[in-house]
Amino acid sequence: MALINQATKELHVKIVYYGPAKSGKTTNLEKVHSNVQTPYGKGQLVSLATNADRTLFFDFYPIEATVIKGFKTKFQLFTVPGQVIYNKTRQLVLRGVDGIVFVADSQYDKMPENVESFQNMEENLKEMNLNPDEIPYVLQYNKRDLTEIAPVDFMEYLVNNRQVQVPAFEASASQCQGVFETLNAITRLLLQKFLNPVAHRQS
Amino acid sequence: MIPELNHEDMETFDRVLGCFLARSGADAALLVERAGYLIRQRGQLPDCDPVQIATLAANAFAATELMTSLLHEPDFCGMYQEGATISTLTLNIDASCLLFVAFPSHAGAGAVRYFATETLEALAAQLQSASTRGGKGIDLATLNPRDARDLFRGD
Repeated sequence: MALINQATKELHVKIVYYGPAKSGKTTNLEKVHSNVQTPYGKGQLVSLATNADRTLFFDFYPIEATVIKGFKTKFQLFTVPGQVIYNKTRQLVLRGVDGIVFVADSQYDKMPENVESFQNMEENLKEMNLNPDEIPYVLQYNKRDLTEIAPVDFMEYLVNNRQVQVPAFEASASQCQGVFETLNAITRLLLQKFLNPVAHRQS
Repeated sequence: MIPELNHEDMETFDRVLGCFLARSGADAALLVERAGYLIRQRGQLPDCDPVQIATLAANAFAATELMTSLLHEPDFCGMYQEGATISTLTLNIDASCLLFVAFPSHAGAGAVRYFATETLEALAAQLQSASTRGGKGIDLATLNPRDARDLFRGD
């Protein structure tokens, strides 16, 4: 969970990009890293990947901002490996998570994987004694620039079909479309959680 | 869960870590939260970002801890990496924090670990004290979550 350091006036929060394999989680971080405007200097993007550029453990990108007067907020952005066999690794990366971006692949044939990954995320949170209803998350429907994609309504039905819907964003991460909108949305939800721990999901 | 930290905590961490470096001959000591946050650093790492090192150490520790539990070794408390010139030791402090140490390889892990014992206890005691004390939280009076709508911008 978030770390508050009154001595250094810093707030540390951890955001994890979750989703099925090859849905664009790493691409999101790469685009944030290469395009973000920040007065604090760009940190380095760390990727623990295979030779084929598939995430093996996680990608990590630290980024700073001042959202609360007098406090520097340090966001730690992580991705998890999407492949099913890496479930234990995903659990490790989820440790201490404050907010989640679920990156879904918009291609029709990826819908079963989206649903499976979303269910896996809920299971992993529960296994780590985290209540999925108390962890702020947003959805990103990525790869909207491709053909053979599912309508947004259908994707909403699959992964955002709840009493309280969460914010969802269409994106083409490879073209940096929707990347910053998604990041800002999860940031806003996180801050609302600090303001109102009960009602943060209703924004 | 990591407690809220204040000046007293930081001063204690600085003193304890500084004393450890002086006695052990280690190059750098990092107090790291298990989710990967760098809390405090004393000494210098050679030309690398300590934030990255902290995150990698925390996750490597978590992975190795899981591996040892699968091997039915429940008392995992440390991880040693032997380098040609610089070696590292990552040690468990408590449920929330780790101590990462970088030291000259010729110094030997045993000596560093020996001097780390008291350090781990002192750090754990201060973290326990912080937990007991509780925190004052963040003054959110000036916070407007809508401000975060355009917090991060691309080129």
